[in-house]
Amino acid sequence: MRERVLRTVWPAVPIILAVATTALLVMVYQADPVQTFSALWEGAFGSPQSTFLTLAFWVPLLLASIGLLMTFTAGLWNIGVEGQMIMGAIAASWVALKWTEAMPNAPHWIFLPCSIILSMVAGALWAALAAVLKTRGGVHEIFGGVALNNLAIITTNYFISGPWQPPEGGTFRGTEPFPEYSLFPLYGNTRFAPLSLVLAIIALIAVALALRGTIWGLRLKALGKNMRASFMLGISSEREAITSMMLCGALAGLAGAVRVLSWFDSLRQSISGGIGFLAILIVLLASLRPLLVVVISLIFSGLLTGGSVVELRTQLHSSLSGIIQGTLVLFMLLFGDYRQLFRKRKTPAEEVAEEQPVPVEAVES
Amino acid sequence: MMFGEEIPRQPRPELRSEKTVLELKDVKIRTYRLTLENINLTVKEGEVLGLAGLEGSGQRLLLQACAGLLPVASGQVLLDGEPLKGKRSPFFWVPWLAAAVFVVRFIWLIVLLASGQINGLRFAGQTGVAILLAGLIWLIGTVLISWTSEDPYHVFKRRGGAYVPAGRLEEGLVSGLSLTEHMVLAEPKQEFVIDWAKARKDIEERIKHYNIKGRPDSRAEELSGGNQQRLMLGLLDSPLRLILLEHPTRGLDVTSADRIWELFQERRREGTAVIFMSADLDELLDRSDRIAVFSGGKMSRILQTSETSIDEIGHLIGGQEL
Repeated sequence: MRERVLRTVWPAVPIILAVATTALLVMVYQADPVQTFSALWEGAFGSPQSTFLTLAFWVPLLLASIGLLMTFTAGLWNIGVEGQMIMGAIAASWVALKWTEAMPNAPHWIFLPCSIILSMVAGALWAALAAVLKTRGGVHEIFGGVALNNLAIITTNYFISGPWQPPEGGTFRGTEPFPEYSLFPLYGNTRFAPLSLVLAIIALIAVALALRGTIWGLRLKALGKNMRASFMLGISSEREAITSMMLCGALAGLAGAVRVLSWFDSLRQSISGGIGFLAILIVLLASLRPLLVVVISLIFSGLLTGGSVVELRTQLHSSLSGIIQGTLVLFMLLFGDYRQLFRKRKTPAEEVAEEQPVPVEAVES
Repeated sequence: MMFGEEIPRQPRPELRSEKTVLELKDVKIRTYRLTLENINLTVKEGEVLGLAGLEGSGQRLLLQACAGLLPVASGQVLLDGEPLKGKRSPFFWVPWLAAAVFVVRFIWLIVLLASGQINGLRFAGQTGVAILLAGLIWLIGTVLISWTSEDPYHVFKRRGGAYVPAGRLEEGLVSGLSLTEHMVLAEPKQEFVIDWAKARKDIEERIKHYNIKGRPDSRAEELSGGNQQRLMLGLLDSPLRLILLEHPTRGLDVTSADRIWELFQERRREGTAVIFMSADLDELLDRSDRIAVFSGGKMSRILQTSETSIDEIGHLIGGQEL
């Protein structure tokens, strides 16, 4: 019972510690910590406008994190999530930019579903490439992922400066804005698309349930813990690795589509804004627990959007939110797992004693 | 025996069935360290074959080859008369299609270039497009193949084979998963949505039957070595055609070992054949119908247990022919 209470309450400890440390730091610079944090809060959730900004940033982050839940459960370090987002964004942009141009008479509602589906397919295929490189080519998914990330960035640059260049000429900044009907329907005057949040929640519930209660989720869990033993128990490691990578890629691709079709309105050079890498951090900090992923990703989005208001209100630089993030990560890594924390450190002798005594084989001849 | 007291050999039921479960024909296994050649072997229903030899003499390689874990360099492994091999995917041709698409397109582009219909720049660009298209087809094909093909070992399992490795937490069990979760994974018929109540009931039954000291929620690494061994054996499906065992009773006390072998006897009555390797000569002599001795990658002629002795096996292990 105590164990369970501890487990639910514990995640708050590193957060409190991080806030306290940052407050001290702020005081060193002779600013008022209360004022700073209230500015941060207001910047993130203070007004409807800022809340929707935070939410709009949060949705793609959440989508990418949910995808990563699957690959991390399977023990796959899908660093390529950033590239998968970018490919999804490119696919969505293709529909929003070129299909709308090619089919001016088509009903307007048709483009958004096409964007969504195509972005998911593109993300999944990009992830499949990393997965196949791993299973067939022996390229570790981290290295394959990093390489494919760069390739994806180069591809964006190619489209922006090449075939999808705005008519007025080559700036390296982005394509021209997509027609409004090809975007996610936005809420009021904000960049927040309710539909994208609905999709993210559906994905979250589906993935959480699948990981917890289906044979597929259990196979991924087993694979992540011991690949060889899982194989011996009858799990096809290749099949599950590729499937989980592709599903993660599909969600990352959708995140990319949300970025171009709601946060922006065109394909930009820095389309993902580091969301993929941030998602990796979040999933690791949440130690693969879906609910914690939701909370931590929301905190991170709040910090990022709130940081700019802090700069306006106080004389502190907006990188304060970065400092909070950094300390948060540090404290989570230090104190995140209470079991590790309370466990008595063993001396090497004790560790040896704890291992199973291996019986001496009696070979008699 | 480590201590003086002599434990009487248990009487073993004589089972004679003429139905062959496993047949090895001129099998050759080659690894970087050891080569096994000309292995011919037939194992009948209900038979127990023991593999003797010092660790690393080739008996483990043979076991792995029988399970499809190790490809044979030549020869055949037949399980119930049918060769044991992986299931080829019905999409095996797709990567070839990708290659064909590229080659055809490339030749066509060369023709266009030679006839002056496109210039060099366009030729290079179109070649790039052809590579991308072929790459996409190849990628989709490879994914489909991975989804639909089946490893030889998994075919072996599906056809009623079982393999129990010696490395309990390395190969046999997954650290961090509970006993119930192991039960779900080991179940031959798997529903997509897990029925936890049923799995719990099943594992409780196995815990009792196999005398495992552990709860359904215990994780595999929390069990002691002997209990891990019993768990691995307890997870085996029933009925089976063939069980391959690496050191089935290593680390078990005498009573547990007897209990384990009793359970194998039960299975033998169902027609299950057993091949096991062991370093314990008493176990080999007590439990097997026939014994094959390995020495430095060579398999001896197969001895009838009733006609052999510890001395003979000992000499064969040392590499002496009698």
